[in-house]
Parts: sequence; structure tokens; C-alpha cells
Amino acid sequence: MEMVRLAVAGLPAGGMYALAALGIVLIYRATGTINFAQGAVATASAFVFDLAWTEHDLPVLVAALAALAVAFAFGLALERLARAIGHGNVLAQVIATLGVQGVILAGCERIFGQEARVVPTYFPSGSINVAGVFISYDQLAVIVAAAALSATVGLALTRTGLGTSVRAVSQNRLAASLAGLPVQRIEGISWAAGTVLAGLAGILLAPLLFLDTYRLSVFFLVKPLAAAVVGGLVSLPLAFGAGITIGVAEGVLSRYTALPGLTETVPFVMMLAALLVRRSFRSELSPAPLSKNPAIRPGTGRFWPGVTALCAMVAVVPALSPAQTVTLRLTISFTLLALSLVVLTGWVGQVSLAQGAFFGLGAFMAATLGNRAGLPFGVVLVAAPVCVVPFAVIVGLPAVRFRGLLLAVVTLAFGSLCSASLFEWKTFTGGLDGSHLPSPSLFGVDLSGDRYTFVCLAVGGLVFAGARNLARFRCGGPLFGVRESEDGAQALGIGVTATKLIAFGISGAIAGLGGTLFGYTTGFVSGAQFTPVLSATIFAVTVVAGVESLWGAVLAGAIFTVPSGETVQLLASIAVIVVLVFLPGGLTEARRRFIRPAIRRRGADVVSAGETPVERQDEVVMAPAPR
Amino acid sequence: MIRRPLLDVSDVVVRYGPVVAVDGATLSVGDGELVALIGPNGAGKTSLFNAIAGVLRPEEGSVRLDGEPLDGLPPHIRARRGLARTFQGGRLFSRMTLRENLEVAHYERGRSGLASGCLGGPLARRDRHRDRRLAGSVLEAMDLADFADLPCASLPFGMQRRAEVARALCLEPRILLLDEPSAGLDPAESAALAATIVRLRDTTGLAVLLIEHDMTFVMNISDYIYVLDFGVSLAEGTPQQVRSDPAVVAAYLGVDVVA
Repeated sequence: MEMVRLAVAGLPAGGMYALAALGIVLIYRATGTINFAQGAVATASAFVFDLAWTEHDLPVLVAALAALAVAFAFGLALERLARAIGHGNVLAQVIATLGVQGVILAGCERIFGQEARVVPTYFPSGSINVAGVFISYDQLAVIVAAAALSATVGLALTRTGLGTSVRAVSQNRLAASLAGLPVQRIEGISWAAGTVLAGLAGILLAPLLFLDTYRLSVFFLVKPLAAAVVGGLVSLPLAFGAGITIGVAEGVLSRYTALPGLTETVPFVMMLAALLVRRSFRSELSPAPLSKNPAIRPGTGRFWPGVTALCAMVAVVPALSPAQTVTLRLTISFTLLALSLVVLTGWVGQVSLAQGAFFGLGAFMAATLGNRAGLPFGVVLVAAPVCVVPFAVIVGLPAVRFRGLLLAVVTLAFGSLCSASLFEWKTFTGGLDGSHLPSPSLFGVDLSGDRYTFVCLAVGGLVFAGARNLARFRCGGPLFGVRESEDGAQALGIGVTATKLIAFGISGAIAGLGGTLFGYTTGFVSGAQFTPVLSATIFAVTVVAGVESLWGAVLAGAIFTVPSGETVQLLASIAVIVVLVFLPGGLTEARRRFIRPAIRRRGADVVSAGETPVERQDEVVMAPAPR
Repeated sequence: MIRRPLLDVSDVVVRYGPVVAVDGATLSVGDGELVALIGPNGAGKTSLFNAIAGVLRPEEGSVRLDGEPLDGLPPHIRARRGLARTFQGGRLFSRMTLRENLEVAHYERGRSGLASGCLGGPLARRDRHRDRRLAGSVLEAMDLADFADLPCASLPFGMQRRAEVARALCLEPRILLLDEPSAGLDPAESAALAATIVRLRDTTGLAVLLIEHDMTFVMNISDYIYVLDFGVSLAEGTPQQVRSDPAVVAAYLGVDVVA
């Protein structure tokens, strides 16, 4: 009986996951893009609703309409953004939705403040008794609304002309436009409908939850995404069923309170199971690389700028104020975090939204090994990153079968699992109290103060040089080959599976090393520092700085460390979007355009030769033909 | 003449659900031989090719390279054993330069590992030197030296086909599998490529198995031809024999042999 009660208690949440999942599926079906801002839109709607209803005493319906209008506006804005980036560049579109998420969340914090709010319920209190299980009216309303809305969306897609058009656009955009369908309008409608569904989920569930910007946005993103993935991102009934199942399973598991975050494993496990059972996904799930420009091989640049920069840093350290010293150390930690993405995403083409979790794992491993196990700093510096490697390899396993967006979703789910479960585990992380790290020392030599900054610089420099060698020397070839064409790499004897897993391992170790340095810098780590939002933000920032370049990682580390406060975050998120629209290859590619234009020019000559009159084309083609 | 088979494919069966794509195909390629596998559209050529390369697993039959069975091995292991292939659609690393493409192809022939690469050790430097030297000589041999430092995406189509053959050669293979190398080429380019393939075989003694849709391309250059139709071996022999085989003529021209 207890089980049934808990299961029923999970139903409303399940209904909301299902609604938000329908929104994701709708947008994906029409446009081939996953909207990572879905959770943020739901959160914003809930806040607007709360503002209008509780603070301004507007009627419930008016407040709800106002909140939905906001969600609708976000949908239209997202559609314009996706159009500006261009159809076909799905990965950039997805990162842009991450940027929009950043804008919405920072905006919410700025407007509504950081404290969690409680929204009073707008349904009459009371409950009905179904065979001994009491269901309150608001729970019932949420369940009924979810079922009714899902049925409506399902019917609209299959039974109306508009629904048929949406399906046509999703199956073949070009053919749909050739058949005279207003493709852009249909995509716009899908975006708006998708975000309105998220908004509805936010409003309906608001009275059952605390309003807390970051928790809520993750809550409304990861679980609906998991449900959508179970439905293969295309099936509405499956996504709906999966959403409900996740809610119910969470309800049932919530009785086992001894294991923190056990409920949070549900979406991740369901998603993984679905991915392993399912045979194939639509081809858009392996999107084209961000940049189509010729890749300049990383590490082929000159060596002295790096050495000069490092020497300059070393020289400057004694003159820095304590606050500036901390900033420098943090910059190095976050540079390593960004560098882990350069290796994994920039070089091998595997999207990961779990890097923040690896970073956090590194920090907690350092705390565990350095504080509780009492190992010396030198050992921890090596052992903590090594301990992260197995986690990274396991997260990389789905990459063996799935690429691109799907991998982004799986890694996001892993990151959220870590932050909700592993990082809350008291024996490992100290739970809410966090963990302390000792002051670093090596062979009896105290390494606090400037000495620790030198250690950070040395470690950062070594990793930079190692990664540079990795790209420069032979091993870079297989990495880039796997990014460019898996079939091609395989035909050359390169083990694609092994390459990907090794890349995940290396990347996890680098991120873990960054986390270790971070831990010793702050001396205190707690789970709240390593949320999925950290992963999403560092991903967006690294892409903007230049995800294929080591200097991009340095730039990303600096960009990521310096801003603090919502205003700066807001501006940074806007910058992400602007850069994606105008410079898809990131800031470092812009630098290359001006500093090393020779390769581009020579490349352009041949391309234009292919397009100009036939005589010239023949000339180019025939010139080197054998006698 | 007893041909010593380098590549030996026997009784391979490939099914897609109820459809039988290849129904017991058998062929062999000897050392230094240039063998063609031809057949009309949908004859099962590419399926057989993929079964040899290890991309798909045949239901029955076996593939041997120099007497050693390759069955069950993944494509990259077959490639390391000396089975190089090209793709019909082309699978060049399009954002990398041609030279880089060729150097990557030689990666698995080196002995330095990850650690040596990260440290830039002497072993990695020696291997890199070898990669570059081989890539340079293959570029010369394939008349691609002028294009070496261009990104592959910007090469004209004909050059890309040629580049793909060059990249396969950098694997230092024992046998080269070419999947419709002349597809999409104009007659002049196609003839040039045919000449290059013959020259390669003559100078290096490399065995070549090529799949072709286009009869004229293979007739002049092949030592031996297998004809596949509806997944079944229709005929085999020298170009002369195949050309005059009535069943082959019927399959290609759609004429009923009896009538």
C-alpha cells in the first residue's frame, strides 16, 4: 500500500516530465535540434506565474496566460536564433540553446533573486480517495492536464493538416519546401508549441516544488530529456510513457532515503537502457562539425609564445595581491577543464556535457585522498586524476554507438546524476558540509602561497605542452581522423572505439587534474559547485573561445574565471549566442583568419577554380594527370 | 596455371532480412594480380565488398588473407593485416590537408605509442619522419604532390578519388580494394586513374581487387574478371572470355539468352 501511495505521489511529476518531453520531441521532430533551454523556459514561466499571481494578485488564468506568453516568446526567439545560425549546423544550434539557457537563468536570478520561493497552490485543498490512496486536487489536476494535453498534441500531429506538415518537414525539409510548405513558419510553430509545453509544465508543477532557479532548470531539463530519448526523440507515446514511468519510479524509490539521490539515477538508467536496446537513431543525431573551414592542425604553431606567456606569469606572481593570485590559480584550473573539452570535442568530435562532473570528481578525489587518506600532495596530484579516468571511460561507452547530440544528452544526464547523487554522498564528499583539503606540501616543503601558484603554473604548462605534443606528433592523426570520418579512420586500421574511449579517459584525467588544482586552491569543496550548469557553461565558453585550439582553452579558462555575478553571466551568455551566429568556429578561428590567411587563400583558389568556366576546371584537373 | 591466392573468398552469403544480397560468392586474388568484380546495379558487389572488408558480417562463407582466416575480425584489424580499401562515396578527412590524410594512414604501421607521442620522444619522432617520407613518395607516385598541402574538401572531385587511392596505399597494404574508383569521373579522368592503377601494380606488385559498374574501365586493365548478378557468380575468366560470354552480355544488356 505504501508503494502504491508513493507511486501515485510520483504521478504529477511524471506528468510534467511527459509534457516537457513532448515539447522536446516536437521541436526535435520539426527541426532536428534538441532544445537544451527547455528547463530554463519552464523555470522562467514558473517565476513569471508566481510574480503575477502571488505578488501582483492577478487572477490565476491571467497569470498563467502571462507566463505562457513568455514561454511563447522564448520559443519564437529560439526559432529566430536557430534560423540565424542556419539549418544544418545543428551542433551550433544546440549550443546556442545552452546560451539561451544561460541568459534565462542569469536573468531570472537578477530579476527574482536567489532565494527559493514557495508558490501557494491555486487549487482548492482537499483530496479524493481512490481505493485507500489519497490524491490531492492539485495532484489530480496536474495528472489530468498532462494526459489531456498530451492527447491533444498527439491528435494534432496525426489528425490535422498542420500536423501532417510538421511531420513532412521533419522527414525531409527540402522536399517539404519544394512541395510548397511554409517550412519556416512550421518550424516556428513547432518551437513555440514546444516551449509553451515546457511553460505549462512549469506553471502546473510550481505549487508542488520550491522555485529555485538552477535546481528547477536542471529538473525540467534532464528528466524530460531522458523521457524524450527513451522515445527515440521522435515517438510521442513512448516519451509520454517514459515521463510517467520516471515520475512513478522516483516516487517509489523516494522511500529509500538512506541512499542520497537514488531517485536521480532513474532518468540516467532509463536513458542508457533505451540507448542500448534501440538500434538506430535518425541521422541528424550525428551533426556536422561546428566549423567547416580547413582545420589548422593544433600544436603546429610556434612554441615561444607559450613559453613567453608562462615565464611572464612566473615573473608576475610575486607582485600579485592574494585575490589576484587566487584568480590566477582558478584560471589555470578552469583552463585545464576547458582543455579537456578541446581534446575530446575539438579534436575527437565527441560532445560532452559531463566535464564539470569530472572536474568535481577530481576535486573530491583530492579531498578524500589528501585529507582522509592523508596522502602527500605529490601523490594526490597524480592519483586523483587517475581515479577519474574509469568514470570518464564509462561515460564514453555510449559514444561507441552514438555520436553528437545523443552523446550530449547522455553526458548531461551523467553530470546531473553525479551532482544529485554522488556529490551528495556524505562519506565521499561530506554532503552539505563539503570537504576540506589540507595545505599542499611536497617532501616536507610547504607549498602554500606563491609556491602553490608556481606549482599550478608548472602543471598547467606541462599539460599544455603534453597536449600540444599529442596533437603535433603522430597520435593526433587518429584523433582528428575519427572526428572527420569514422569509416575512413577504420579503413586505415585505426580502432575507432579504442580511440574514443582513450580520448574520454585523457579528457577525464585532464578535467580531474583541473579539479584537483581547484580543490587545493579553494581548500574547500562542496557538491553545489559542480552542477550540470557548470558543464554546460564551460562547454559553451570553450566553443566560443575556440574548441579546436589549445589557446582557445586558455582563453576559455580566463573568460570563465573572471566574470562573477549575474550581470556578467548574462552578458557572457549573450556573447556566446552572438559568437555562434557570426563566428561558428570560435574566437581563435577569427584570429587565424587574420594572422594565418595563406592557407585559406590557397584553399579558396582551388574551390573557385572548380566553380569557374570549364577550361579552367579542366586545367586544374588534368594538369597532374599521368602521362 | 595455378594461381596462388592472396585473398581467398569462398561461399560468402549476405542477407538483409529476407533479401539475399550475395548468395555463395567465391573469388580469389593472387599476388600482383589485378582482379575486377563487375555486375549490374544491385548485383551484390558492394555487399560482397563490405563482407570482405569486415564492415558487415556474412552469414556463411569465409574470407582468407594469405591463408589466414579473417572471419569475425573488425574492419580496422583487417586493415592492419594489409587489406586497404577505398569508399564509393569517399571518406577523406575533408578538413585536413591531403598530406595529413596520408600521414594518418601510416599511423598503425608505426611503433610509438601514446606516451611517446605526448612526450615527443625519439621513437615518435622517428615514426613521424617515416610517415612523412612515405606520404611524400606516395604523393609523387600518384601525381598529387601539387595538391599536398590543400585541405581535401577543396580538391576537385577527380583529385579526391585519386587521393583516396593514395591514402589507402599509405597503409602499405598487401591488397588494395577499390570500390567503384571511376564513379563520377569523366572519361579522361577515368582513363588516367586506370593507367595509374596499372602502373602501381606493375611497379609495386600490389594485388588489386576493384569493383566496377563500368565494363569499359575494367576490360582493358584487369587480369581476371568475376561477374556477379543477383548475388550469384554469373561468369569468370579473362576479359576476353567474359566479354564473349552470352550470359554476361544478357545480364548487362537485359537480353534473354535463349531468345
